[in-house]
Amino acid sequence: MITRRHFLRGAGVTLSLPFLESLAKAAPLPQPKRFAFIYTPNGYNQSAYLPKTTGANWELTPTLEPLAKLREHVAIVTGLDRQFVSGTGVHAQCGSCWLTSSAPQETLDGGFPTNTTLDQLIAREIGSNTLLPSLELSCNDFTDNKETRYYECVSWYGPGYAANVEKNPRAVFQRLFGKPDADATRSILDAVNADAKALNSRLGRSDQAKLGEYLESVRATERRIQMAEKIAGSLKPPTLAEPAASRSRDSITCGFRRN
Amino acid sequence: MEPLAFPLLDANCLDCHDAADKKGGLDLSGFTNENAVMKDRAIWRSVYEKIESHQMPPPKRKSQPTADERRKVLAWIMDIAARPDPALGACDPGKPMLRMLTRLEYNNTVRDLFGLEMDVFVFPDRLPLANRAYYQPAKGGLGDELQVPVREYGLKYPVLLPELGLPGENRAEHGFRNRGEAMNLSPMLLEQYLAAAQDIVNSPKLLQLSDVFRALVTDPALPLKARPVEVAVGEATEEMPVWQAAKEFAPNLNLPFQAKLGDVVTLDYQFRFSMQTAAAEGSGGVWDANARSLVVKAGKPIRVKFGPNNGKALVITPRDPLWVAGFSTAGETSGESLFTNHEKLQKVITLALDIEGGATGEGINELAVCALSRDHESGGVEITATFSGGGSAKLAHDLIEGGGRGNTFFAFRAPKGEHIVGLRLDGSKFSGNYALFDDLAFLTDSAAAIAAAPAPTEVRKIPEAEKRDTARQRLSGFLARAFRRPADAETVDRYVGVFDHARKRGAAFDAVMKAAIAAALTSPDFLYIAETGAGRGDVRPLDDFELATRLAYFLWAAPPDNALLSAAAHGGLRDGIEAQTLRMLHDPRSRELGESFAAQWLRLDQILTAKPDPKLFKGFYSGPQGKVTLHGSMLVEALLLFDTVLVENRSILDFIDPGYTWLNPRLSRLYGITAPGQAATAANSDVLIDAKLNAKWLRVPLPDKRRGGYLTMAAPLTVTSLPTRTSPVKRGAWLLETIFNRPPQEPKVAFVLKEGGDAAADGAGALRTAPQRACLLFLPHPAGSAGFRAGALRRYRRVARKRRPATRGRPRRVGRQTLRRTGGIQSHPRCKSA
Repeated sequence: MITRRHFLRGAGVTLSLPFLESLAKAAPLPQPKRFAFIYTPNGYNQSAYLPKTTGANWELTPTLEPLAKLREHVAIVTGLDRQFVSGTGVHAQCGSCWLTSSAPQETLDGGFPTNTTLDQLIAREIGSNTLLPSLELSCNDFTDNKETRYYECVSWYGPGYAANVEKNPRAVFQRLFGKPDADATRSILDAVNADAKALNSRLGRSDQAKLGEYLESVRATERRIQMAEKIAGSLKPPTLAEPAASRSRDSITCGFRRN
Repeated sequence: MEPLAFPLLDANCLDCHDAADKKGGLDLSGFTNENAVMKDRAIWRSVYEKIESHQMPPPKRKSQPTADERRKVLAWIMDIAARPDPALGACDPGKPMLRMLTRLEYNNTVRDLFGLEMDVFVFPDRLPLANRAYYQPAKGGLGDELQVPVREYGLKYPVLLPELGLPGENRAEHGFRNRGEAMNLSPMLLEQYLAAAQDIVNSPKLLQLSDVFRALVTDPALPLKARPVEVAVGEATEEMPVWQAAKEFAPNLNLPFQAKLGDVVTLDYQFRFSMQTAAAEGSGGVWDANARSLVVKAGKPIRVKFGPNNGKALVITPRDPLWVAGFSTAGETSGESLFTNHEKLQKVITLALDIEGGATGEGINELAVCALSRDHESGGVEITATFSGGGSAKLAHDLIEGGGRGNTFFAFRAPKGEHIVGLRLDGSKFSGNYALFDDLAFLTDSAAAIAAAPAPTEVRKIPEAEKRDTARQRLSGFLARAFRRPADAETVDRYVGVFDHARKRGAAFDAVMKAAIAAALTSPDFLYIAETGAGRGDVRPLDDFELATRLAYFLWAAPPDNALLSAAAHGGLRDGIEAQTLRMLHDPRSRELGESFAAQWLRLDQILTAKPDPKLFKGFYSGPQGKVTLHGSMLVEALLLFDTVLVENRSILDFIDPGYTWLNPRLSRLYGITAPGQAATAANSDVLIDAKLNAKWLRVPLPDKRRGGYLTMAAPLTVTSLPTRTSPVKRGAWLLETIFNRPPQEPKVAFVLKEGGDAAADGAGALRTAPQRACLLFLPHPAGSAGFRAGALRRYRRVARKRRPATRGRPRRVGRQTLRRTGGIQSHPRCKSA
């Protein structure tokens, strides 16, 4: 069986958000669809991993052996290898384009091959009923000069636009179940909204249209904060305790050293 | 006075372009005098281009205007175009702009607002130069030799918030990022800006590094710890053994070994990157021990100044006399000198270590030192670090014989909550009279010390109303700089409102100020460049603040500084604009003209995305797995030409025909030019040594006109090529847009280029015979095709005569014959006049 520990070994996790039950009670929604991607850096030994047979009875290779009981539910997809292209570091081209299947030569983000990732495409489809359409987690706590977001992020909103990962379990807990401190943000939004209106009155018509984007964005952000507050108020307290402020290195140690 | 132009137009154009024929939809018969022309000037732009490029009158037509007549008509159209618009009573300056700051401008604006020396966050538009010290515009010249090290693209470098990221902007047509109409704000982006502003103001690093920020947010009731005034550190003497801390630790390539015998090894080679960040943040440095020959007496404290304004010092107190000197038999890890025992054979050096002038409780957290090997000597070296808790750690290594060959890295980290307070360097097992060491690097725990320091107690009670007044004053000053013009009372009131709101909820003074500053950094007055001075629709002179903002973002891609703003406030900017501009050009911030403007104009930033096919262009890749590429070298060559013209105030014709170029060994090899003073050796097999050798750039005179300038330089030629071959389309379009400022029209008929094949020979030819040729005429541009003689990477290509591409084009008269005659594309008259 996969133990929790094994599960956590994947350094990058991205999943469509858990369904909010209370929201469902208020207005019945269809059964939620969830999707999770778990990234395993450094990969597997291919010769011990890849089944040589296809079809429902795919070969149980030594690495896949633990999945024997679940074989009928598991599909293995191969052939997604990507060729390394010089110009940026080797590792920067691993996780960052894992969920894109971008062509090796495609570099819409400086020299990097990032693009909208599959999980974000799915989240746009099925994540609209949740407060957060997707949640990006990582338990890689190793840092060095090479570990940029091209290493850290397997999930990207678009070329060069990373869905940054959250590494602190407590922050994740609070994002899911905590009450947002909307008041501080709202006070900032009030001020900048007034700034925008004052600026708007001094602008010509075409510039006003341009600044309209700003005013609309302020309104949308306010709406989102309201929704967050409403949901937080009606949320059932989770059965699990809030994690400690900072991770103890012993409980989750799954950073990978590369040297 | 009726100009000569009308009879000429009559004779050459009206055959076809009159009311009856209207060839090409153009009727010029109505333009009988200049007033009529003034009323519809737009049409004359295309007339100008057609005449200029010899497309009109049609080349087949028997009678052609003389060259002189052609020039006269063109000059007349130019004159008409330059006249003030009768409807506006002035030259049309174009639409007023409202645009957001680009990501780069946002970074620079926050950076300058808080007086930071580092970037705020990492973004890919920042060109990967590891060091910009070469750019000293005030000197008026770049010299003939420069050090321009390039960072591997994508590598981290010291910034305020390494985790922060903002999405980039869409490029507008012509490749520029700062076009307002192409930039859009979405709710998601606004939230990003809001989160970024909150991350910035809550960054403990900002509090540490920015005097400006500290002065803004510190509660007036608390003592504001004044920064020491910067003291210049002179040369160290026996009476005053004071050094300036170096910012970089010895390069790894000078350190082949790491000591691992003994206690647990706590640090690895990554140390030098932490060191770089710490030096930038003022929480560490390196004692490089540079001096020709200097003896420090036993017990005499050595000071190594570091931190903001050199306000802190590492105090090293040797128990025995210490000698700082150069040894010809050793290979120093940096500089030309090292430190050793002064008395022969007394090869044990004991040092007491302390930090002076830091935060309360600040001490050395991590430490590294290099033991040097020496010709004809060898043996063991043992180093012990003692900790404030009383413990110690010992590491040992046997140094092999040979100067520089056995240099060894020793590194220690203090246990949690403790500091390194002493060092014992024991070379008694090392043969010879001296044990040699270099580069003592130290990192302090200043951030932790500041965080752990007890909250300072209020020096005096200040009534809330007075605090509010202080807040108002500070915000008013800050908003004027953040919004790049004085903030009116209403605006200041709004931000005092943020202050009041949070104060009512019981937040501390500094937290409240931070909230107000975060609001300012999210305001449209900050994020947008708006020109809202009096008057709408009509043409009006810019007010002084608008002018200051335009100047600053044009020359620096950064906000106006205090000198500029105060000139604007006193109304003296317009008169002193020349002096201001020169002052700004002499400021190192003007490097953004090259790194931001030139990089976008010439598409140099796209060089980083170029992926020449590794099989076809083997020379592009070197090193293990082909990881070492020419991207950086090509970028620097192009950038240095721009910088040379800018700093040395040379003619812009240098962009096309400079007669020199900047070369490092890699490019010398690519071009096959041997630079004097640069050994034309093969790439060094050691990646790090190779990188170091290639950081050196020499200004090299060019032997002939086949090379020189942007038209024949590696970077633009690579940018305008496809991965497998050159592209007549891309190169021609690049030339027309970038050099000739005649952007090609969008093709009206879609077509698909066949993949593969030698485009230089076939592509252009195929296009010429394609049925759509009428609308594609601009594509196989003769100048673009001429550029084919330089291959995709800028190696000069000899094309066999029968396979030579047709470069005999009509749209623009830059033909093969001309090129052959004159020897280079630079000499063509079109390039001279471009």
